Amino acid sequence: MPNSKIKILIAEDSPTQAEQLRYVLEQQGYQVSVAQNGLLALQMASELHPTLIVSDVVMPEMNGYELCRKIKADPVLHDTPVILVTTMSDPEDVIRGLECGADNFFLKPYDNDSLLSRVRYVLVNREMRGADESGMGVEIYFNGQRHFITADRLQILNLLMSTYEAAIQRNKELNRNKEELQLLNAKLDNANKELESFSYSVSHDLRAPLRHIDGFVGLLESHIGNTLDEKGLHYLKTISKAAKTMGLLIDDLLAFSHMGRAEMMQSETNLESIVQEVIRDLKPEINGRKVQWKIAALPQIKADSAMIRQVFVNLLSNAVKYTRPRELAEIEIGAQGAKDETVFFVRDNGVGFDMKYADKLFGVFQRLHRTEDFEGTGIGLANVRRIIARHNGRTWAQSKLDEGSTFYFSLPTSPERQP
Amino acid sequence: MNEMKRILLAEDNLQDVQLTLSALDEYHLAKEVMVVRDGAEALDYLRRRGHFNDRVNDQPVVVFLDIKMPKMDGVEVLREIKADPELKLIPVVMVTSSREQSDLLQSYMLGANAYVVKPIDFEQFIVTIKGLGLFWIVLNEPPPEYSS
Repeated sequence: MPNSKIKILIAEDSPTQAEQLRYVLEQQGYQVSVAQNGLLALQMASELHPTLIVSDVVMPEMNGYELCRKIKADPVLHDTPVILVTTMSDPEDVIRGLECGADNFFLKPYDNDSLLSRVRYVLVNREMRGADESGMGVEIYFNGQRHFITADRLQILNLLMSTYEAAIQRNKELNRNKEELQLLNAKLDNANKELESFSYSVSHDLRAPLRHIDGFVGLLESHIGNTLDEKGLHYLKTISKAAKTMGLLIDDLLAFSHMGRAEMMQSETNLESIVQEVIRDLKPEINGRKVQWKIAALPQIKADSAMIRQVFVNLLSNAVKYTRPRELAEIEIGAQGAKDETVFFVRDNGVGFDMKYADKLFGVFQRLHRTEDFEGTGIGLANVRRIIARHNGRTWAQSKLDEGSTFYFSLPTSPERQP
Repeated sequence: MNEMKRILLAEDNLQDVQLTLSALDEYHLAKEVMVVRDGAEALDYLRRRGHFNDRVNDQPVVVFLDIKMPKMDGVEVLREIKADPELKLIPVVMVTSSREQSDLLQSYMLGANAYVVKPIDFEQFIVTIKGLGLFWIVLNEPPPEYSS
């Protein structure tokens, strides 16, 4: 039979998938019609008398199994082969396919060549299929369920063969994916090693010249310091200060990079005692200023304690720092439980920032204040974001200039996954 | 009283040598320092080989080892010293730029007697090196065979 005489009915609720299928089949010269669900397909089938039906399984109104069962029970249409397009994620799919009398399975996602060869196979088999109508029906047990199958032997064989073929195909895909993954993993491993040796070299080789700059400035000062005027001394101080700042930047950057690679040690973490310890350690920075701490009850969480401690060190020392111009600094620490995450916050009545720059805040070496006003390298919040991200949480901030800021971070309630 | 006591400083970088010597000089300890410029030379000195074959046998009371050096790095030198029955009692101090965990761990595993990070801040650098010199030359009792 020439292809142009062959009528194929597609039952598929996704318009894009239906159109793709139609295109591929029409390229081969088949006559193609599309129905958006099983019910429409059934109506169209009784008008069109298609040579073959290709049906999706999951559809509204009437699904693929039901459509197939109706076709196979129809006195006129019962010889029409039905190919079911399935994701084959459940072994029961095969049984359901057998029960409804489907002729062939097709695995989603598919490539066009194997789709077409499958269609040709079913068409050829349909012509060869003679009078083997000895479908007495068999009873089988699968997964503890009793099933009754009436399809004829050839049909059952075809369906099982197509299932087997699909399984092999899936297996090949999985193997290919596995190999790709292994390759990517090796690359990642390599990149990690390179990163490690890079940061090793940074910590050795970049610090030495800075030490020399500051060292020789120091020697120069002790050598000719008493002959220099104020300006000369100021220049020397500036050079020395710049070298030290760069030293801090390098240290911070290394610590930041280390934070991204360090192994996580999850344990039950008592946030209240962490907060108390951090506040105690901040005493020298508070330096006699008036700070009113408001600390709500904080839940016990499962996390890397050292990393979470670092989060509070950064957030609380920021709060202390940016409330410096206030007569009375007010710093509030709290938590709000939501369905699958807990949101923690640190609120202060400090100088705040313009929300326009909120997205810059968590970037590496990004600062919204001048170093003369508020010291710092700009790594603290980048560290916070990285640590929280490693705990599968989120970080954000809210502020009004001159009125204070609130920094939030969320932690999932069940943090089993690790990135 | 300490004229026999000597520090062996293995440091490839001239600037670092100069800064270290000027720090030690504040306690007039600089003249006690023998400077070698890489790891291989440090071992030659300790084993009285190469152009050190005619030096008298008075081992240093301490070896200050930089880690990153050409030819043979400080960790390798440390490994050799601590594996050599003739040398293993000599105290070795790693004096280096980095506080990399891997360096720290490896050094202590191999038997380093101390690990000191050279600060970038010059004042702190002076305090650190001066303190090191004072400790090893004046305060610390060396192992018996050197207490001549």
